[in-house]
Amino acid sequence: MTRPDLTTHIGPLTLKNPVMTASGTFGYGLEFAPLLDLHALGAVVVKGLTLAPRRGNPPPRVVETASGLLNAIGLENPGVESFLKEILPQLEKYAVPVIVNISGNTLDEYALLAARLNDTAVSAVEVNISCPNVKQGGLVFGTVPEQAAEVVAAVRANTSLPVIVKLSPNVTDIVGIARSVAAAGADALSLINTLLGMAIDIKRRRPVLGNVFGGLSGPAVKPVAIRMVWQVSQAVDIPVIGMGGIVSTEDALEFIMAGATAVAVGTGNFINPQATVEIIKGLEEYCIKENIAKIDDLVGIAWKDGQNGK
Amino acid sequence: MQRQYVEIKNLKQLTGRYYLLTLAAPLVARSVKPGQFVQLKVSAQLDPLLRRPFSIHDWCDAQGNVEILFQVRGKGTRLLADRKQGDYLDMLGPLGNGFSIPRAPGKALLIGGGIGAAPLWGLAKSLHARNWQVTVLLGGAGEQFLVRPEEFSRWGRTIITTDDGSRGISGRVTEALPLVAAQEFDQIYACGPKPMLAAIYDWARITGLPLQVSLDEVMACGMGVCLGCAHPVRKGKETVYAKVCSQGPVFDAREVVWHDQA
Repeated sequence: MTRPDLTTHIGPLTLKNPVMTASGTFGYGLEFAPLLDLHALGAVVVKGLTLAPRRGNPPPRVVETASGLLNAIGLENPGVESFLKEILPQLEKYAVPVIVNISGNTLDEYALLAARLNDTAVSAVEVNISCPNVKQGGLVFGTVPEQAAEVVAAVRANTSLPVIVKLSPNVTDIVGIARSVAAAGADALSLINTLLGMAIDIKRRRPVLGNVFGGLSGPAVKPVAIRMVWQVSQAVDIPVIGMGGIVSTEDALEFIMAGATAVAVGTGNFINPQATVEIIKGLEEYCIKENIAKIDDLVGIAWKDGQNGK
Repeated sequence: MQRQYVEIKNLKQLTGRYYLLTLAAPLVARSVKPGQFVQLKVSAQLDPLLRRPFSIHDWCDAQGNVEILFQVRGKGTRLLADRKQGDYLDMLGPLGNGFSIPRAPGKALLIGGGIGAAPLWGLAKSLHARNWQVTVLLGGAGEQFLVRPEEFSRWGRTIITTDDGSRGISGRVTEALPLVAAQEFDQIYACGPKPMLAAIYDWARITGLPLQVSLDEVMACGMGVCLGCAHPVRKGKETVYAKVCSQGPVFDAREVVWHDQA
């Protein structure tokens, strides 16, 4: 059999396969170069950037929970200028699509960030309206449909790049937010970001994390993410990038069958830094074994077949 | 840095809480620096989820071995202690920067508290091999918390303290500092609980001696991408967060913010 076609389209962006990295779990990509071929990845989504550098939250910033990880990093990053000057030129050499995750405190900051990435080697922007670990912006924009739409419209008006919007699961109606964001001009959606949570240190009788609350990720959140991908992919016409607890090929397949056009490995990179390339290989093997010519044929198959009465 | 499956050649209990793990890892044994660490996946299951960081205790290039001396503290280390000879572990490393040893041989003071003394063994060996004169201050809560108390004297004069007086001098390891003539030393190295390190820093500052400390923070990735193991350090007049995994775990004590108000 010929090799299956893993090509994936995220709006105007074409990826050689559907496996990407989730923002904040892959650094700026370069850190992984000793361990894997970056060029083999569908895309690298880098750690979230802001206009000005951010110091991040006081430690402790991470704590492990049952099959999960709570983090409150607080968007520590060197700022967009430093990224463009120091990091991007190095990353360009690997000839892998680079998607930049952006966060702002105000609409203007989102607009300025988006505009700054035009005419660079960046392939797409991922708008973060879902960070649970910063006081302003972030999650506030991501939980009210009208505000989410305003952010997306501001970014859309200032960039020629594909616009991906990363949604928060910390809402009562994920479909409402997704529709609102799609109508405002998003090319694709990433879901899910982390679930807001916390842990208590019973010896100190205090919250474990310096920031008190943190975002829960890892296999513990996967069923929530699958459910949201299932709902949203049926409600909007733009592609969904599924993420939340992917550590294996089977996890990635679950997301694709639930309706994800592409998938991103997040916390899984911390457990197995080679998870992305192993999953790409695993998807290819699965397609060969199951006689599937195009990975695209599997997208949403769990609900598409249902509609056909199977 | 490599990721590889390594065979457990030996795993033995040293005292009630300390275990010595010998791994067949020739690539790491060849390139490791004292003070570096590895990330081990203690089980293939998803709980515990993350790898656990362990300082490298000793290594032997000729045999291709790397040794980890660890304390059972929680679920992850309990599972590791229950692994068997012949099992394979998923290992990432060597990681971090390790201790730096000045080229010209001199006199070094090594201070280890509890399991913090584990990486100082490999450091003492390296210093010894480079003709440094080594003095070791080895402390623990009680006798069972001392790291290889009989054997450390192989590398030089060893002074032992225990908080409960079960062995050596009764009291904390820092209380033995007046017993050593600070001005004799060219370099101090320390690893242990943070209050211990802060007290040693205060002492070193008065005496003006260079001090390298190995810090311990909860880590997720171990390779500088998750930004979870942040510790405040001074950068000019500013306080910034350093990544203990990739910018450390060894720091010049003068850079570290010891009494954090952040």
